[in-house]
Amino acid sequence: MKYLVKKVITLIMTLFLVSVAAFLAFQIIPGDVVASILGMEATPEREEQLREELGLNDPPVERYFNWMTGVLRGDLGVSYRYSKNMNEMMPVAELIGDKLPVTLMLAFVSLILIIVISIPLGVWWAKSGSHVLDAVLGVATQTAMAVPSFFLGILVTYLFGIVLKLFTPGGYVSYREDFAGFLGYLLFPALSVAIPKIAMTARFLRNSMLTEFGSDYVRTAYSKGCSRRRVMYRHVLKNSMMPVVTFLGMIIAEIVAGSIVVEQVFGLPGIGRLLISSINNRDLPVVEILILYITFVVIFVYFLVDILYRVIDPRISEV
Amino acid sequence: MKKKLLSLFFAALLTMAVLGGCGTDGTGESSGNNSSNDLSGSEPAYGGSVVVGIQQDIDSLDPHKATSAGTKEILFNIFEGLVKPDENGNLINAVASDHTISQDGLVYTFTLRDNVKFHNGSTVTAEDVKYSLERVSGILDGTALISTLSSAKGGIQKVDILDEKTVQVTVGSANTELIYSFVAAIIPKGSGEEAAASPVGTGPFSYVSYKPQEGIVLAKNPEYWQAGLPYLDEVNFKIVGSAETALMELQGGTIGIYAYLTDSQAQVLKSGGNFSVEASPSNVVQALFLNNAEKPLDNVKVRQAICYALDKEEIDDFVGGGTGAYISSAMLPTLTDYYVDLNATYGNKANQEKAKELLKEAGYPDGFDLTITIPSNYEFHMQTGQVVVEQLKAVGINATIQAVDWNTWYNDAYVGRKYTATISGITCDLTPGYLLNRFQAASNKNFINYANTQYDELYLKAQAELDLKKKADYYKQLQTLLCDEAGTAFLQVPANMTAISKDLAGYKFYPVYVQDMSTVYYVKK
Amino acid sequence: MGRKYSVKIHNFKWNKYLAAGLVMTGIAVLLGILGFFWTPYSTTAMNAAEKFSPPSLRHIFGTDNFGRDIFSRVMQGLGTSIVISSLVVLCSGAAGILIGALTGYIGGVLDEVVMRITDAVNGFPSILLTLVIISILGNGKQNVIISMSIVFIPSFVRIVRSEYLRLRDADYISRARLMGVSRIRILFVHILPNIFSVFWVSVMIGFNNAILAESGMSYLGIGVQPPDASLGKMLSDAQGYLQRAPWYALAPGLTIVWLVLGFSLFGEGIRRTNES
Repeated sequence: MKYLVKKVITLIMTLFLVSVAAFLAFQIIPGDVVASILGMEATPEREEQLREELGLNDPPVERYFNWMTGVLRGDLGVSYRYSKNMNEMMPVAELIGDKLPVTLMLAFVSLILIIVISIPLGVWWAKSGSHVLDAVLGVATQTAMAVPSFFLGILVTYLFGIVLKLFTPGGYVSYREDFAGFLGYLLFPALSVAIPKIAMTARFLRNSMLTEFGSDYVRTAYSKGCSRRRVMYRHVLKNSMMPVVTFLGMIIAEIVAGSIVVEQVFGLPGIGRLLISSINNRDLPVVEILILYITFVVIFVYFLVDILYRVIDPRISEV
Repeated sequence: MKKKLLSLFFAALLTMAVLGGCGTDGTGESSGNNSSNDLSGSEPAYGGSVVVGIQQDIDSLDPHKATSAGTKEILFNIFEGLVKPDENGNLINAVASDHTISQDGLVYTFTLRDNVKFHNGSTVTAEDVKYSLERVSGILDGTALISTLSSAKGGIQKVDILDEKTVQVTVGSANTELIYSFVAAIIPKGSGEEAAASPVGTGPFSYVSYKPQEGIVLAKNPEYWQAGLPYLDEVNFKIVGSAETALMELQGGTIGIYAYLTDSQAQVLKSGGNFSVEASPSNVVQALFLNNAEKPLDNVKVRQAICYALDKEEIDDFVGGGTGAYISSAMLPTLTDYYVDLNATYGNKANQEKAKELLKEAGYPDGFDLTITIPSNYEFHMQTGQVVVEQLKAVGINATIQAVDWNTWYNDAYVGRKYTATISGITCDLTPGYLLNRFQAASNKNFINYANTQYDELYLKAQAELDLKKKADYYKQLQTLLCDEAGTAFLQVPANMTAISKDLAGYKFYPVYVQDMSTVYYVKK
Repeated sequence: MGRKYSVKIHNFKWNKYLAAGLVMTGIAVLLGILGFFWTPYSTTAMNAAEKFSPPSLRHIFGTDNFGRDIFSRVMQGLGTSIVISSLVVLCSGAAGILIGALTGYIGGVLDEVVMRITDAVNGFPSILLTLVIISILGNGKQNVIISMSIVFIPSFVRIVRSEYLRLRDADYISRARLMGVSRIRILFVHILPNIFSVFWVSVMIGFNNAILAESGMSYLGIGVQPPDASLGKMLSDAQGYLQRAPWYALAPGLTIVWLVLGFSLFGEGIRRTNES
C-alpha cells in the first residue's frame, strides 16, 4: 500500500514536471501564431483583434496558472487553429477526442497483432530443435527489427496496396462511418507498427523459454515423469510469460511512437498527425495537452505493468 | 518534339478558352454550358455526389475573414458578391443584375437581381447588401476585413439604399480596379456573428458540415438563381494529407477531382485511364525572390547575373513537366490586355557567359555564397530550389537551401524580411495591378525591398488613370522596369494539373484560385 | 580486484554474429566515408535525359526524379547518417557517464530528481521529443545533433547509474575509499573502466537508435537540407514515385536496414563474447 502511494505521488510529480516543461518550452518557440492563423493577406487590425481574443497579451505565469487550473477542472482549453463550426474556438478535448480513437485503435490493433503472432512464433521457435529453422528465424527477426517503421509502411503500401491491391493507400474510412472498413484499413498500418515488435517479442519469448528449459524445476518435472507437453505449457510457458508481459508494457511507448510516424505514411487522421501539424501551426494549447497526454498514457501503462507484476508474483511485493 | 506538341496543345486550350469567353462577354450572364472539359456528346445527369480532394484545412467559414486561397476556393461555392469572376477572368454580375460607375469613379450604383435567395430561404434585400459592405469596410465596427475596401484607406465611405432594389456606394478615391473587390460575399443582415458557425450565402451550394482535418460537406441549393445549376446534390471537399495520398485516393476511387497534381502524378494517372488530366494556368507567380536590401543582391548587376544564370525551361521541365508559363515580370500572362512578354530580356535558357561577365563587373568574379530560404511544406518550391542551386553553381554562385516551416518563413522572411533569397509563390486575384502594387517602396507587401522612385511615380500615375488603355500602357512600363532592373528573378506561372474522373464533366478552369462545382455533372450513360 | 578490462584480447572469441556484423558495418561505414571524398557521379548534378532510369550497370541503384544517381546519393546519405549518429552517441554517452556516475555513486535527492526526469523522458516517444526540441531550436543539422543528444542521455544515464550502484560497494572500491583515494579518482579511474563491457552494448544499441531516429527526422523533413542527400529524405521523396520508380524507395530504405542490422549483429556479437 505504501508502495502504491509512493508510486502515485511520483506519477503526479512527473506529470507536473512535464506540464511545466511543455508550457515553458512553447513560450520560447519562435513564430507568431496569429500570423499563421490569418495567413498572408490579413490586415493588422484583424491580427491585433485576434491576439486579444486569444489572450496572448497576458503574462506567461498567469497563462500557465489559468491553463493548469483549467486542465485540473477538466477544461483543456481551446485550439488556436481549429474552430468548432468555425465560430467558437474548438475545445482541445473535443479535437483530441475525435482523433484519439484512431491512434488508440492503431496501437491496440498493433498490440493484438504482436501478441497473436509473436507468442505462437516464440513458442514454436523455442520448441523446435531444428538448427536450420533457428538460424532462419534468427536472421529474419534480426532483420525485421532493423527496419524503421516508416520504411516498413512504404513497403506495406507498395506490396499490399500497389502490387496486390488489397487496400487503397490513403483511402482511410472514418470509424464513425464504417467501423469494419476502418479496421480493414487499419490492419495495414498496424502491420507496419507491429512487425519489428513481433520480431523483438518472439526472440524475447524464445530466449526466456530456453532459459526456463535449463532450470532445475524443469528437470525435476521431467524426472517426476511429466510429459513434455505438460512441462511445456504448464510450467515453462507460464513462467516465461511473466517477463514477456513486462516486455510488452515496456514497448508501449514505442508502439505509440511507431503509430505516430506510421500515421504520416498512411494518412491516418490520428493524434500523431494532429501533433505534428499543431507544432507547425504553433497551436500551443493542443501541443501542450498532447504532450501531457502521451506522457500520462505511457507512464500509466508502466505503472499498471508494475502493479500487475506485483499481483502475479507476490515475492516482489515484499520488497 | 514532345514539347512542341505540348505547347500546341496549350495554344489550342488557350484559344478555346478565349473563344469560349466571347460568347458570355458583356452579357453579364453565364449559362454555364461552355465548360472546358466537356466531353463531346456527353449528356448531363442531375444528382449524385462527388468528393473533391483539397490540400489544406479551412481557416474560416466567415467569407470576410477567410484569408487562405485554399479556403476561398471552396467558399466560392457557398457565397457570392455583387459581382463574381467567370472562367475567363472577367467579372460577371451575380447578386447584382447590373452596375454602373460614375465618370469620376467615386460612385458605384448596383441594381439587385430579382429573387436571389439566401440558403435560409429569405430573399436578398438592399439592407443585406448595405450590411455586408459596411462590415467588410469597417464602417460597422471600425475593423476593416478587406483592406482594399477599408473606409480608412480610401475604400467604401458610405452605402446608401436608393430604393429596395438599388444600392449606391461612395468610395474615397477613384480606382478602376476597385470593382474587383466587390466580389466580397453578401450575407444576411446581422449574421456576421454567426457567419462562421452557420455560413449562409447565395451560392449554388449550401453549407452542411465541417470537421477539422477531414473536410467540409456542401449540399445543392435548389433555389439558385442561375437556372439549371447546380447539377450535383452533394459536394464533399475532403482534406488529403499529402500529394502522395491524393494520388492513391484518386486511384482507389475515394476522390473524384483533385486539382493539385504534380507532374509525375499526372503521368501516372494519365496511363491509368480512369481520369482525364488537364493542365490550366494557375494564378501563382513563382520566383526566386531577391532581397534588394541585402548584400550582394543590392547590386543590380548581381541580380541581373542571377536572372541570366537561371534556365526557366530546365526548371519547368524538372518540376512541372513543361507545363508552366515562363514569366519575367509581375503580371499573369492570362491577363492579356495588361501583360507584356519580356522573356527575351534574359532568355528562357541560361546564358552563363553573360552571367559570369556581369558578376565580374559587379566585383564578384569568383561568385559568392547565397542562402535560399524555402518554406518546406511546398514540395514544388523545394524541388525548384534544388534545380536553382545547380544552375547558380554553374556560374560560380554557391547557393544553399535553408528549408523552414511555413510559420518561420512567413514571420521571418515575408513579414520580417530577414532573408537573402527565397523561392515562393505569390497568388494574384483578378485585379491587374495586384502584383505590381506590392513592389512600391512603401508597400507593406514589398518583401523584396525593391526601392525605385521612378517605379513608385509610375505606379501612382497608373492607379490614378481612368482610361483603361492608358492604364495598360503604364502597367506595361512598370513590368519592363521591374524586369530590366531585375527586381527579382521571376520564374514561371506553374500550371494546375487537375485530375477529373471520366464519369464527370463540366469542370471549369478559372484563372483565379476557385473550384466551381456548380457546372460539374455526371455524364449520362 | 574486480574485472578490469573485460574485453581482453587474448580471450577475445570470434563468433558469427561478430563476423557478420563487422562485415556489414564495415562495408557501410567504408562506403559512407568514401562518399565524403568520392562518389561515382555527382550527388547533385541533374540530368533530364536520365530521369527515373531503373537500376542498371551504369546506375546500380537507378536514378531519381532529377536524373541523379541514387547510389551516389545513398553513399552521401550514409556518410551523413553515420557522422550524425556518432556525434550523438559521443555527446549523449559522455553526458550519460558524467550524470550516471554522479547520481549512481552519490545517490540521495540528486539521484531521485534525475531519475524522475529520466523516467519522464524515457516514457515519452523519442521522435516526438526530438520534434519538440527541434521546434524550439529551429531546423538544421547541428540542432538535430543537439536535440537527439539530449533525448538519448537518459538511456545512458540508466545503464551507467545501475553499474555504479552495483560497483560502489564492491570490496576494492571500499578499500580504495579507506586508503583515502579522492572521489573523482574513484569515479573515473577505479570504477569507469569496469563498466565498459556493459556500456559498449548500450553504445551499439544507442547507435542503432540514433540511425533510426536520424532517418526518421529527415523523413519528416528535419535535419539535412536538400540538395544534400539524406536517407530519410530520399525515402519521403521516393514515396511520391512509388509506382513509377519503386527502386528509389528501396535503395535508401534497404541501406538503413543494412546499417542497423549490421550494428545490431555487431552488438549481439560483443554481448556473446562478454558472456563466454
